[in-house]
Amino acid sequence: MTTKSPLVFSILTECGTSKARVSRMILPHGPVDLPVFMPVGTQGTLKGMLPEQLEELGLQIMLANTYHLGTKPGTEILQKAGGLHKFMNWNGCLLTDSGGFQMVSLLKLAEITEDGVRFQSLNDQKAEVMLTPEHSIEIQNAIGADIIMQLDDVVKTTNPDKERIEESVHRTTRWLDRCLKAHQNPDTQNIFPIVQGTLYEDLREKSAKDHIERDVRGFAIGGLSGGESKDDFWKMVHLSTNILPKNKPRYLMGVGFAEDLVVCCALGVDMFDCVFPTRTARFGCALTRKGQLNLKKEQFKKDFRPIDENCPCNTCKNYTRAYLSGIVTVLPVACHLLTEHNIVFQMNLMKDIRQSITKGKFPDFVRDFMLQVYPTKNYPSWIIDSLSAVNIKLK
Amino acid sequence: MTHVKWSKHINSEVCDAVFPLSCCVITISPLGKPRIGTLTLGRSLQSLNTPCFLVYTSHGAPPYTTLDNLRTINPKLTAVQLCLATLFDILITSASNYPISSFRKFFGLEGFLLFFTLSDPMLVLPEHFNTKKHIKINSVNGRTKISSRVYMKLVEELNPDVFCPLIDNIPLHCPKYKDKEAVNRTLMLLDDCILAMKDHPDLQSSALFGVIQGNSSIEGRRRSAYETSKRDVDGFLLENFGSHLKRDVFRTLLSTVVHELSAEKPRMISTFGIPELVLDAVEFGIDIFDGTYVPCRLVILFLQLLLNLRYPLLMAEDGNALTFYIPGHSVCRMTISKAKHISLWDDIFLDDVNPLCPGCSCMACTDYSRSYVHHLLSTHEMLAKVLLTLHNLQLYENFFCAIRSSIKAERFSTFKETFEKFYL
Repeated sequence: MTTKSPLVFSILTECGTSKARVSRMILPHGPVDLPVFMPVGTQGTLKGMLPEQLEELGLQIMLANTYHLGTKPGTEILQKAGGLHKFMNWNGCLLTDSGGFQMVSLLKLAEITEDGVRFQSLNDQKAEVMLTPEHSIEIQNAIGADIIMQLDDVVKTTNPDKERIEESVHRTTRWLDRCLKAHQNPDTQNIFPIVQGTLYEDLREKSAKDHIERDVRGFAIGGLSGGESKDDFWKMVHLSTNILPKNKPRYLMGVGFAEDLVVCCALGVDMFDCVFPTRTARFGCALTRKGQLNLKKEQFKKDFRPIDENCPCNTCKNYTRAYLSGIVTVLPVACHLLTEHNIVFQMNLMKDIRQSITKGKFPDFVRDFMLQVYPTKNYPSWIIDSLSAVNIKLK
Repeated sequence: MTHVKWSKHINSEVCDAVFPLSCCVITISPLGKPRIGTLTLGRSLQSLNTPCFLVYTSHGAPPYTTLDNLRTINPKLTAVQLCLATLFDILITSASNYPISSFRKFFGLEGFLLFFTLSDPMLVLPEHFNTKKHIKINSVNGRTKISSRVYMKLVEELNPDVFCPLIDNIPLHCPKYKDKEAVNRTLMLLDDCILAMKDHPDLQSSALFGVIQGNSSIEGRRRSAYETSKRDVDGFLLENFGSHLKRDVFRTLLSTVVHELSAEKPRMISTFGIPELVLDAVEFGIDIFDGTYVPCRLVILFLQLLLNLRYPLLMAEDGNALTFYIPGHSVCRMTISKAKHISLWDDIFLDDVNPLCPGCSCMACTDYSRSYVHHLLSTHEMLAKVLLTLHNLQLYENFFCAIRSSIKAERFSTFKETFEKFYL
């Protein structure tokens, strides 16, 4: 069925008040209900969870990392296995990032040139390797994810050098064109461009407008959620979603805390990813609407409630906080139990967001949610301001 | 020979017999060895077909798989082993305050048959901790004394289907006099336990297994078995029968012990699990195996063992998949050698798209490849051990199913010979 587009997007309901919307995206490996939170399965696995379990939970899409998979197991093995879906036995949708962010953040010596990113490989040979837009797409083609990301020139939001940032905006667009040209599977994999510009409104605008001119089926908002103030953060998200077309999905990269998800849905974002829920599970932390529970603490040893009385996950069905507290530092399976809970937590949050938009009650949902997080109503000013910008008033 | 279902009558003319014990029933056929049986445990009236193995747990859960994941194993595994050694801290700090009286619920173990011992079969003691006056147990606060009284109270709260009394648990390798002392002390503790049962009416429906000690001493084992047999116990646990023993010594010790034990009571054995020794033990009439084996690394070096003999869970922990041949069942079509297990760390599996054990129908073998498991191990991802554990448990269960079938069909010796010939 080569005539069918590899991404079909339709808006189902729009919130009458804010910019939030419920929509549906159909990808080669299945449908995805938006807004969606995508957990990160970095190395082709989601922290000890069996794909069968994830399917049972109703997970529709998850992330994998190009940099890690390109190193281990490498493109050759992935090609031999028939792509990452088959390799890891995951039948849902996949999204891969370009590898650019990992390189810049993980590696000490990464030099960015017009060609690509030159760095010292982490393997034994310590050879100098170059990750170019073409090479990134090559690896992502081998992995076979439904959505793949362009290689972008990422600059930290804390970098004040406007010239450098302007350079990165233009280069990102040039690299987008190179990615689109190198792409081998335009009928089965969707390239998303990434809007850059750090905290400069004019540069963000330029980046977004350039990308809009290209033939792409969705957009990512990048370069945020890394050190900038929350006040700057929300304004850039708001600006980006104002410019990006409504009829295509918008993906905000690296955002995953519950309140950030709620606010950014109000600002019109459709897709999110973050390592936070799965990473924090490894450290013994369970997520609830009222905040994180660090189960290592003594106070939980005699707390015989489940993590969350309203949570339908198996961990909450079978175990108490007291038991989890007893095993969290000593038993490997504790990590799976917490990971499952945290993933279900995120999924339930997104489901509630979607349902409230569908019922026309999203602003009420936002208010109730924020009240749970801040029972004394001492809302941070950035939350008040961002919601106010989309007509949601917190009392 | 037919397998008799549970009935209230003992018909001595029939080879097959049913023995109602105080709280559990074992139907054994034939009365000699090897034997298959159905162990029906009093409280839950759940039954277990023997010979069988127990799923190892630490702190109340299998270390790498959730209890839900165990569902993928067919037939269902329902018997688990718990030990005070890993449960102690949780029991003391949390479970004893649990408002609901059943500890089972606290551990999420409702619906399972629980076998409770003092020692952790995964951990062979490097030294003897117990003093002349006290048994000691490791806890977060260091080594704590534990008395029979406290022990029995914890057992009562846990309410297992089978439990062993407090014992003088000793390392595998001990001076002879300590072996002897341990036998004596364990008998005394057994007597204390039987006496204490009066104060714990809830434990009446749990089966008490006496523990047979003695390490490698033939006389020690004989005496321990003989004396334990004289007490009012429902079954036996042969402790510290590790794979560190040479095969002929192992067989001699087993034969010595079994000779003293009444045929109608179930026998459990701990700390080994490699297939050839399992077959030996079944031959001598052992019914329940503990599903793990560990000499700790110190002991391996000390005894200069070359093989990694840890089954099946520790095999998974080290990145190994079990691939041994089960006569009459599927043969793992090894392309490398007739290995009883393969280490998925090995680089030869980098691009091997075959399942862990071709021919195995478990979930790990149906949906995943050696290449993927190798990738998971080399990236230090937890899913590796989940998949290996699930495969190993399935293969091990297939092994025990085949053993039971062969005994039923009176072909066990052929089964055993076929296995041994394959690996000559």
